[in-house]
Amino acid sequence: MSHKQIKSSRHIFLFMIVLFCIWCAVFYTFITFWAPLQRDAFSYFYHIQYFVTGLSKGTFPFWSHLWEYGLPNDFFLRRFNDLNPLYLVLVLFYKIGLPFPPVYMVFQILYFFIGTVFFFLLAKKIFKNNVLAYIAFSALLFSSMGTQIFNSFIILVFTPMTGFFYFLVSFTEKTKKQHLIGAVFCLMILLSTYIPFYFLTIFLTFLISFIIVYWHKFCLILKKYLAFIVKHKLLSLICIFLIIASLTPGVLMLLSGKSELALAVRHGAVSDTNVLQVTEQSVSAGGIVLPFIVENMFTNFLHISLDRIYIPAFIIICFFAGIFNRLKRQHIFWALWIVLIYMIGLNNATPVYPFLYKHVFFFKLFRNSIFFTWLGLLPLIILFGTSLARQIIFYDSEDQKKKIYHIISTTLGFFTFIFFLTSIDNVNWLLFICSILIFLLLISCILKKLHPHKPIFLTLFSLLIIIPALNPYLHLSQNYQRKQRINYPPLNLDFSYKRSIDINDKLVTYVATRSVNRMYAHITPSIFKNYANHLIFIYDNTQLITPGFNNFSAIEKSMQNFSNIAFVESKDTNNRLINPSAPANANVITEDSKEFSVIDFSPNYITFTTDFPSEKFIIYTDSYHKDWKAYINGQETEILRSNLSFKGVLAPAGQNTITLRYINPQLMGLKIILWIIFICTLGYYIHCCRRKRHDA
Amino acid sequence: MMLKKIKPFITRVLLLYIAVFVCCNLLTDNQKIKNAYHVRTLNASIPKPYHYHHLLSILEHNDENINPRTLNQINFYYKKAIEFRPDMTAAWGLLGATYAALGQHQKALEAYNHVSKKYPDWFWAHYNAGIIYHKEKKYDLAAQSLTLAMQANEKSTILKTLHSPMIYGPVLKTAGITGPKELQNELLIAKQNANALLLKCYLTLNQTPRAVQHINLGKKIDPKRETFYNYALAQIALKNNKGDQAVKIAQKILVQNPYQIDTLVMMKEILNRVDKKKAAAVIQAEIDKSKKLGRLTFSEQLARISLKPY
Repeated sequence: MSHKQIKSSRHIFLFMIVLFCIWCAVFYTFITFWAPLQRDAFSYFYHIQYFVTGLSKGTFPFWSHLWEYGLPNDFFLRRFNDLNPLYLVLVLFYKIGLPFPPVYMVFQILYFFIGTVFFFLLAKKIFKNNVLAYIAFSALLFSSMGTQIFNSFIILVFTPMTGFFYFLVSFTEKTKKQHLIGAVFCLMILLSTYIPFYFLTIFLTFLISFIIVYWHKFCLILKKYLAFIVKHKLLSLICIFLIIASLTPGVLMLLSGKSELALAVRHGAVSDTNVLQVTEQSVSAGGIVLPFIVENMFTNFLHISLDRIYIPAFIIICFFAGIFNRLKRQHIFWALWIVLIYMIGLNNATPVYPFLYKHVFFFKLFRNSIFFTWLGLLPLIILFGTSLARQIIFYDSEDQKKKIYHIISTTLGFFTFIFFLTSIDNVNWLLFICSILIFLLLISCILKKLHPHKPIFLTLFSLLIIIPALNPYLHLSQNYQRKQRINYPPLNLDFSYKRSIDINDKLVTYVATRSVNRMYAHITPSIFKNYANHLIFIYDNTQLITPGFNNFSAIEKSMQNFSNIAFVESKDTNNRLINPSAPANANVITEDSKEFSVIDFSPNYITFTTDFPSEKFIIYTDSYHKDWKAYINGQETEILRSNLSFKGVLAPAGQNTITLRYINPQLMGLKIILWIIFICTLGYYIHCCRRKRHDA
Repeated sequence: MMLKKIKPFITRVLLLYIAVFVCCNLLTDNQKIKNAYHVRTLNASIPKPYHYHHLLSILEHNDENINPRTLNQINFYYKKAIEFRPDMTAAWGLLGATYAALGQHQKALEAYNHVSKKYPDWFWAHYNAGIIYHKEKKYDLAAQSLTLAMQANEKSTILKTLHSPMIYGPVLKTAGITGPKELQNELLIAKQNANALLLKCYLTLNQTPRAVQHINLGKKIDPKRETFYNYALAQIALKNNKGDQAVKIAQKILVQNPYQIDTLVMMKEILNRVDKKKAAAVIQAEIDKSKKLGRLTFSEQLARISLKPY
């Protein structure tokens, strides 16, 4: 690397930091919780908070007792991927006493920044130029990618995905161990996340596009990989093993989809018994709608929301200004990749998606193709635009005629953009001015009046990225800002006799156990809520029912009146309790007493002591699940499905210690192994990097 | 050879754009994309409850703290709804309401007139237009619109309002209207207001027979405004040089409502005419007292009659 390039690298690194700080200032409202987290961003925040709070108290929360009356937490752990070792940083900071919301926000922002740095490094590998990489980085930073921190989970996929592609390109360039380990680690994170199919689709479309456009190169690369595998057989085998291991949680989840979970909203009207399957999606519901995206990229900022796509004007201008640039193979590659993803994202508006839904199994398992806009189209359009910018900015020809032609074609392209802009209503005047300044910047580079490696170019370029972006983002902050800072209180995982979470009277839930879903389907929500607001009921009478029992109104009436009769699913007559002299109402426990006292509690178990004068039936209004076990004085006993959805256990008379525990040895063992694998992989990658630096 | 010569000219990025455009158009169902665009645009701009609260606070409670941004957001939604479905008359009605709240009366009137043409039986369009004309002191046009409002079919209006869940549903919910009974009540109040405004218009236009007609109607349908209608009767008597009759009616009003400013002013005028200055001065003191108590004149009360967005 020459002195000029090193100096340029230092400048660029400084510019990246400054730009990132400006980005944080622009999104100040969201970062400092003056605007609430939206949609998936909020639920991911909640589930990560639950996970971190549990870990900080020394418990790995396999069961989520605060969500929908209790369900296996693995569904939520898969969503944000608890195997990612970086979450341990959150646990550490929370443990030392820092409040969770700001720690979480800083984590998300830094995670996003890591993703943009990966994007910078990827662009540097592709374009072999720091300035172009900086252009791509800044365009991505000020695009709507960053807004997804506050709206969805996309950043959790974006960062490892960009990392993967960076390491893949690096490994293809130079088959070094650390690049392979880096790619494998990123791949492991992606494949063990709840929906790895967005990444899989993007990767497969990448592969198809690359093979079509660069067939010869692809063959050479394959030979290179094979040579590496032959040379490093053990490492290659380990990598394959790591990838397969990371697929295990997803496969297990797919298999569990036929048993205990219900995802009513997602599953919809699908006839397949696997609850993870979705219906064939229409373009109106979650597809990529290009006219909407294009129209709202430059106007209608009054209504701008976090769902809106924004690409900096510089990139769009490069698309127009580069219209008469010489066509290169790379352009065809980007275009083909973009078109393939776009076609898939159109859902039923093209024959592509229905064909894939029918013949490729994982297309039945995900929806919301709109996410391809952020994960696929946005970064690819920026890279494509940057490659066009390269031909404009780094135009190198001494032939005057060719130079004039280049200036004329750039100008024509730019005026086409202005004409396009004037056809849209209510475009802000600021955008017109910035567009003209961008055009002048490009022309200055062509005429060699401005050198792209100089700080002045980087400064002007950065300003022309930031200023047009201020308009939409300031409107965005205004649309979401509240009068008071949003308070996200810490989660209390301690036991309470009354439910702390307010469950609304909703008719259907996103995810719950099948038991609870049945409850939603057959019992009036307000009655259900009122009953299940209390966690412990003691009954003197039980009525045995079969799994096909359908007199739901009797159960509803019993719940409504808190009647002293529990409906218990069992064929064993020993579970029958009859006590005619018992009071009409069940005993609702509201505090510890001599008769009943909770002595230990965590999300995964509850232990209580009882001292009843006679045999009683205890209902714990936490969802029934086959992996819960009951122990009375250390002896295993049966947990019974009671009152349609809950856990029930028959407590003998006298002093007893009863424990209900969630046990899934298969899952727990797998968790431990996978955690070790992930941490070791990351550790090995860091070790490889340090060795490389030491050798250098 | 020829190909080599022309290759540098045709292998341009433009060619790629054209290929992509053609390919995408061939493979996509543009009608589905268009429908999806309509759905997405409307969903992205659908007003939230606080939007409706703000609209109703301006229209129904004369709130002067106008937030143009909030109103423009609602306005945008209805504009788009009309752009995609020009036949959605309910959207025109609410578009008119948002323009009225923004103070853009001309555009509001255009929207209401559009509704009236499509549904001559739609009470709210005539009523709201009448109020706007009245505020602009165009009494003849106000009288025309309000007369049409009074003649509108109640049942038809109620049905049309309730059967528009997407457009009127959220507004009615915000206004606390859950069923036909409440809507009927609103309609009655609006008709009472319309009658009062009509009377004011006819009095200003010196159309006495019509004014008397509406006084009689008003006494039947709006007992709470008896004072106002009696005052109007007294005004007519005074105009017809029946001063004694006017005094009698005024005295009757003042017995029931001693601080009614307009009636006191009328009495003062009558006393001044007959040169009873001392008595006039006493009345002036009563007028000043009424003003201190914050009583409003009938004109001020009528000016506060507000639009209803439904």
